[in-house]
Amino acid sequence: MDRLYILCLEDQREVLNAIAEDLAEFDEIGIVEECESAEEAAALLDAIDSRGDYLAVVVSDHVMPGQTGVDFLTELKADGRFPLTRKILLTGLATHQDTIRAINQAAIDRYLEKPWTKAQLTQAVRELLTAFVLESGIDYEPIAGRLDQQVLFDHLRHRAG
Amino acid sequence: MTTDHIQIIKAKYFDPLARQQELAASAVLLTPGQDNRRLFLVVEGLLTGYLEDSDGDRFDIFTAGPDNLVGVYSFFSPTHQSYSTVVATEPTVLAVIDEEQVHQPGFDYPAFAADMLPAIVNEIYIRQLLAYRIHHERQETVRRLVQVEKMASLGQMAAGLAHELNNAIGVIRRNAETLADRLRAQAAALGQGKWLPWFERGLSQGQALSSEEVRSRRQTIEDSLGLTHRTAKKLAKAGLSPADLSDVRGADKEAEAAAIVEQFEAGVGLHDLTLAAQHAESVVRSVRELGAQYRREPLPTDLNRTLREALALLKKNLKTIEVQIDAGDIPELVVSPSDWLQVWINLIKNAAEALISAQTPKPRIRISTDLDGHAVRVRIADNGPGIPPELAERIFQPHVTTKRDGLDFGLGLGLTIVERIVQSYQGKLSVSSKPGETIFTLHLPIGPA
Repeated sequence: MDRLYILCLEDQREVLNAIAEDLAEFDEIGIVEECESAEEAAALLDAIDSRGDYLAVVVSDHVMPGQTGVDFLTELKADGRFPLTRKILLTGLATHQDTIRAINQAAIDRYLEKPWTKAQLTQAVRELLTAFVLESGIDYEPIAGRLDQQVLFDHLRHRAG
Repeated sequence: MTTDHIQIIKAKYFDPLARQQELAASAVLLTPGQDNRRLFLVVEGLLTGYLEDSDGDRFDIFTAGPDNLVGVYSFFSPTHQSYSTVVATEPTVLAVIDEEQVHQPGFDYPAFAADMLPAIVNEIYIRQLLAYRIHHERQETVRRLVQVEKMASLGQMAAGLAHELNNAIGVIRRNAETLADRLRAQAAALGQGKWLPWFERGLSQGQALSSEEVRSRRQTIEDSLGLTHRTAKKLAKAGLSPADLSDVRGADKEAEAAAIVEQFEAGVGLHDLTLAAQHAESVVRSVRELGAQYRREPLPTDLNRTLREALALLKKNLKTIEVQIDAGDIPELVVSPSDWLQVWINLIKNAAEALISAQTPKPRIRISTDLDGHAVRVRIADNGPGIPPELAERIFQPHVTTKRDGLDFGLGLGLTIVERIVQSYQGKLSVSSKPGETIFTLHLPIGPA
């Protein structure tokens, strides 16, 4: 059905709520989903894929009971169904080793430290969402107002030049 | 000095010249400064040489069993003064040569001196070792003192912090309550009273539904009420059930949904505010208690409580680990709570770090306390890879560590300190380890009834 999903993964409910609230502006052009565990997120991935929707951005915590964020994102990278999905690691408890793995194996696009500011998070999601839309060949014009203007501008200029 | 050499000394000098002396257990052979012109060879039993400092603390220097020489230094030195106290630890039989015997005409003194040279050199060696040991112990003591000083001042800082924070937290809680009342009054005044139950629900439960439940309810709401995805999701979070759906029946469903959601979210906001303040309060309490602990006076202590405190302090390290505590019915013991907090923190942290670095699937730590005869028994078990056998014997020694990744900035002294604390309470700490199960068992005697 061509909807754009932004998936938020965090085991502490109040924090998950706060992340989703911060991303409220994207409700207009996409669907912000919340998951409390990597297992739950994995099930959602199947649902998104089977419906033919897009998984544009994943915002994930790292230290969680069960599978960790970095492990989930690493599996996501290896998953052939979502090659263009952008990944943000939002965490306060990652070790140096975890960070290295996140970059090298999970190929995360952004690393945000907790506590985060709303502006930091929305800026990152906006830029990555825009990049995803442009790379996926989705028609961006209906939603151009909500996308990152700089990323759009650079893409168009690059195409023209 | 080789055993062959001592046999030569025995054959050449002690057998023909020595007389026998018997000592009962605890009999003192030499005192510091005492004039000694006798050379002793232990035939049977055990002698101990020690020094005493100004506090009356005893510092053992040597033990001498059968075939050991004693008094070599005072026998050959110009001052003939014993430097230590020598006492019989057990009933002892000595072979004794007096100095005048080796100065008899016809006695080959040079040969004697040459034969005794290795023994004299050995004395030098022992003294070197002693000097080093004393130096090392002094360093250790200074280091520990500095640590205690740091902890004490940290404790004071913690107490100050706690006091300041408590004031602020009190303000937050009070205002959260006041705000709730004002919102209720306001809603009633504006004729919005019928939505108040949603406010109360948010206030009392907070965001109670899991993300999965929210997702499935949202679908139902979206389908039956034809609302936007976003509004449906918020209604679902508010806990709108199929039974409540009839609540949203007016012409402008979006507006009614908005009113419900607004009240609910206001309630949740205040709920979470209060919850956060309570959490901050309990953190402050732990910090304050930690600060108070460093007074170190022994007092009647419930060890189960100290275990729980340790777990609370290590919450961050234990986030991905399943922790079970089986608190038995144990009596209070007169101990310094901070000592035991240190012990538990060391042992539990070690277990957690072993589990995490080995990436043990389904990591688990089990703690149990119970009575074992006349002792309190505490067991801390983890299901990690275990301690390799070659390390197991040495783990209580200083500077032995299995920690990697440079994440440990300690000196590998954790278990040494634990052992020292345990011993100071006449307790016993043992470990059994095999892959999949490592158990540290501590026995603490309850003390004279």
